Amino acid sequence: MSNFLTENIDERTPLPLALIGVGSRAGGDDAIGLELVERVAGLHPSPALMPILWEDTDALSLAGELLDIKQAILLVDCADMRLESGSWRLFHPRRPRTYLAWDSVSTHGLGLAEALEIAESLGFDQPIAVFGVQPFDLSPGLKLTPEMRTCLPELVFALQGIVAAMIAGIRPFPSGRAALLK
Amino acid sequence: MNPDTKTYRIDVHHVTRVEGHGNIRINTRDGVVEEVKLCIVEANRFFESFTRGMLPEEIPWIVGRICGICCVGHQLAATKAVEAAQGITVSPQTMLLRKMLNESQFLQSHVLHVYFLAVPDYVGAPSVLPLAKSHPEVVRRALRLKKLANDYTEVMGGRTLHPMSNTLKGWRKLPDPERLESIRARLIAALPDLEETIAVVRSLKIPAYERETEYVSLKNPNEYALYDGEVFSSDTRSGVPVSAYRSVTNEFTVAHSTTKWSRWHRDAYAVGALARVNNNFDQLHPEAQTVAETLGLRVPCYNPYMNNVAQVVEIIHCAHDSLAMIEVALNGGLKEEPLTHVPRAGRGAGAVEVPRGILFHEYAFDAEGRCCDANAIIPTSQNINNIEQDMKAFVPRMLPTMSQEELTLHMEMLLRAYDPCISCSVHMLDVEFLD
Repeated sequence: MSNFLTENIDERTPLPLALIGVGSRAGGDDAIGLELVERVAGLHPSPALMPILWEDTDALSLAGELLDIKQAILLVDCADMRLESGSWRLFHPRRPRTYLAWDSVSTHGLGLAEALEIAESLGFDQPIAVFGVQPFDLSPGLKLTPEMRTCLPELVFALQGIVAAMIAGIRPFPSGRAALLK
Repeated sequence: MNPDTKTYRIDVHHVTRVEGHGNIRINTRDGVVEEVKLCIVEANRFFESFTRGMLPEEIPWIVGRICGICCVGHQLAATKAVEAAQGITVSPQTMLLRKMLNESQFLQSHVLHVYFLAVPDYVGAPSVLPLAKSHPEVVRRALRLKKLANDYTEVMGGRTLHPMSNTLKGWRKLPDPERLESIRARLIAALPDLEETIAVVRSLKIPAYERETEYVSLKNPNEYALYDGEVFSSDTRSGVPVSAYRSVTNEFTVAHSTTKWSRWHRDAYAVGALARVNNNFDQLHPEAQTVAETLGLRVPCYNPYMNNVAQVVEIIHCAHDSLAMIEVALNGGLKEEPLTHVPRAGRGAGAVEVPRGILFHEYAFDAEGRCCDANAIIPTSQNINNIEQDMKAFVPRMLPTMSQEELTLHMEMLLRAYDPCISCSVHMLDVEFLD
């Protein structure tokens, strides 16, 4: 398995790593991507890191934004990976099977996978990885679930490590489980 | 096939490329149409109950969350309704900023609908995904225009989606003049993209089916009414004040739809871009009028498929009108305004045009200034009845010459032409690991 996270970064992208949080703050754990990027960028501001928040951004706008980015990208997002809630996994969006709404019900039915598909069709080819976090609950609400908040320290720690590794050109650990503190 | 023997059973379970879930059911037997129904199967969500007990200033931001596409419209309709209930009048500056914010969302929504939801029908693509492969330049242009519109909303409202700058009485944070100037420059730079948009739409073969109906829109003696006006009917050529909106919508229920239906002076009425263009053509920006002529849209137009063309006409209107409004805002200099307000009892209604038609909001507040009653009537619920009437009129006309597949496509295109927004849902990445 090639190191999709670090390959070509040095040669192709002297620009800072784009750390992008995706999600909504009105859908419970759907805000985890935004929260993690804010925390990691706040803890370690660095010229090698460019934090970006794509809050409440629809898929078509995401596709447009991706086309404007000319550097390596680490997307942080809530994802249904059929894993235990609170788990995280680092993956290339093309490696797992992502379900594409090829015959889309609506623009509401389009998500990150479709945004990436559209962007790639239009020439986007930057190195990209996703730090996905399995949610506990996506019901409407302005806060992360208590269970996800409990997981935050470990998730922040894991993401910090991955960001540091990617910036240094080192292959990071691909997955983990945030232990629930009882 | 002999038209007299055509027996079709069409059941489109969830029409694609509309916002939300609707089914089309058509039965014909031996060339005779037995049933034509547009079934709305979304569960009611009772958004109004969110507002119970809220203070006046909280309501516009909360109800803006009803929709991820018309969030500006919901916020503005609610703001106007709450201000009416609270006896608040606003300055010309605030009116100007709200009109700009509203037009930014028109640009966003119309570009999205025309390029990503409607155009695929005409080029034989099932959705925007294959369209990006087959027509990359078209999709690139659409994304450029949408990004410009998104940024326009963000400059005006502080955020692309669910903006927070607008509030009761005025603006919490005024738009930055430099960023506004940048939007102005980008709008001018986008004019060639708009020309290309016109060329794309001109090349589409719009189905030529007409049914005259009642067209309802806001009307304002001073301008093309998108933000303010009376509720105007093409049947009576007169209007009623927004406060009398219930006499317009006359909502009722039917067994096959969870959405309430509406009717005014006849069995159904239409709202949206075509209704607005039909009722207010003379007030469109001259460039938009020229584009309407170029695209073959002559008022009154009774072809509902031409709603997509009317949307393009409004894109041109909003682009040029926005340029003029930005000029006024920059030349006049924007000033902070006092926003304090003591809540009181009262009831009020407000309406704005949103991309899909008139949006009504109404709120009542008790003696403590807490919301005790609310109502919102969205454009799609006003249009659903009219869409079904179109289907009932067109199916017998289409049946003799169309295969079941062609008829199905034309019914889906008809529904999509109205740009219906039936519901919203949560976005989330859906992943299955293979290893």
